[in-house]
Amino acid sequence: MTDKQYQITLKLNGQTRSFEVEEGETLLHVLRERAGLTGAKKGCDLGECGACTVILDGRAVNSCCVFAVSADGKQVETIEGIGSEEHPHPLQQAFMDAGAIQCGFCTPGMIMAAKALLDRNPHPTREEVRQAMSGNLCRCTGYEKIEQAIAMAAEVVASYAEGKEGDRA
Amino acid sequence: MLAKTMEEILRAEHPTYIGGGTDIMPLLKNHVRNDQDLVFVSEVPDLHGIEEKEGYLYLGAGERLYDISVNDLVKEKWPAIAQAAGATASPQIRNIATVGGNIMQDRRCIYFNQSRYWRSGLPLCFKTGGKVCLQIPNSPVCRAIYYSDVATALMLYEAEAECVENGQRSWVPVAELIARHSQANGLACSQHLPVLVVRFRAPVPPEGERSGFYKYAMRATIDFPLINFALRCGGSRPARVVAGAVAPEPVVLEETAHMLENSQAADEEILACCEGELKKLAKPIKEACISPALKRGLYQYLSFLLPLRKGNG
Repeated sequence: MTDKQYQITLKLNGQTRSFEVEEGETLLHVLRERAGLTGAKKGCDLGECGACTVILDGRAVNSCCVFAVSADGKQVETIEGIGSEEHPHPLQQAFMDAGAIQCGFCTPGMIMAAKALLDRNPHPTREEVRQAMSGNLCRCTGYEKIEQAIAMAAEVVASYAEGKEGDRA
Repeated sequence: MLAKTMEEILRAEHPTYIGGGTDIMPLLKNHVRNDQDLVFVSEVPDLHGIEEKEGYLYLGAGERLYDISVNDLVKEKWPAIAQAAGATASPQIRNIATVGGNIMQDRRCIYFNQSRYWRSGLPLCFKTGGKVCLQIPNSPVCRAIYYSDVATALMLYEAEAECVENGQRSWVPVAELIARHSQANGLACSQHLPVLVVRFRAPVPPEGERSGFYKYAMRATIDFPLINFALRCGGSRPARVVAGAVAPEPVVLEETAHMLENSQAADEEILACCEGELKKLAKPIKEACISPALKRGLYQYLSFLLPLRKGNG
């Protein structure tokens, strides 16, 4: 590859950010090394483990296999953008409540894949959850508790959507 | 270059066209490829659209695999294409990978889909600029396997691809495109075909035809197929069976299809025929999780599509 440079602009967690990137640079590299958002993890770096999952224009993608250039002008959501320590996203809370985290390395990718699912399908079946999470590997927790956490979060998200709990901050 | 129009795409001098980029990215990271002029084409409107028109399904090469897998029109009339698109890789990959990129994907081999460090202890193979196939050292060509799932389905429906090559735009059978691509793809990337795929078309199947796709992999998502099949039968045109992940290009099983035409033939006879035909046509090599001997045992997995003979499946 050549060392061509490009200027790209992302709508990153709601904020417009511009970056100077190299032609072959990955979106993951931009997020971690240029934007300082280290939530998305570099696992296999080949698109197999899902640890680098972020949401690009509403869809879960492996950011290690997305050319940063091709993300120009698009919306990117990372784990840093969906909740905070004081106000975690229902998925973050459910993962903690269900004990769906051990080492935590896969967790940001798991949560972003799950969020992409719940954003388009607030009432997924177990099979739909398994299908949506099939691109994410966990080597310590196993998958039962992760499934449970997503089911718990789905109930909370659905109750927000139905206005039972009021708006989340 | 992030192209927005066909004119921009065609301006590149030594282009490597990138759809979603999920196939080429690991190869670039591992220095298996060293492409110089990346042209990102997935934003170009000419490469988009899924529609039925004048007796054909038209499928833009820039359409994402996920969108194809859930498209009602494709699911209803060309189910093998939707099933193959939905069976490819993981949800994250399907969300960004394009059908054009899937057809023009690189072949794979345990000897070059490795890091540069891993490969440094071996001679260069055809794919990495050398003069030997490390799988079959006396082979005059690269023997890596072509693993596309969607290709098997497109070949089932005798699809064509609209391509631009050297400024000329023309329709070619997908089987022919893959054969040429696969041959060039077994060489270093400077030798690859400078072909841009714009869209695909497949004729509308006749009334009463049934078709489907089956994939077997170690893990249902993530892994490439160990074998895949697509089968059609029951309509006014001849039955057809295609198998993939068994050779440098998908293979058409003509004898098996001929036997499918015989409603008196037992499933066991069809499977025996399939097995015999694949033993002649397949070119198994050492793969990451299966030996050639074990792979031959998968030739019977056409059985998963045989319920289509009776309108099931």
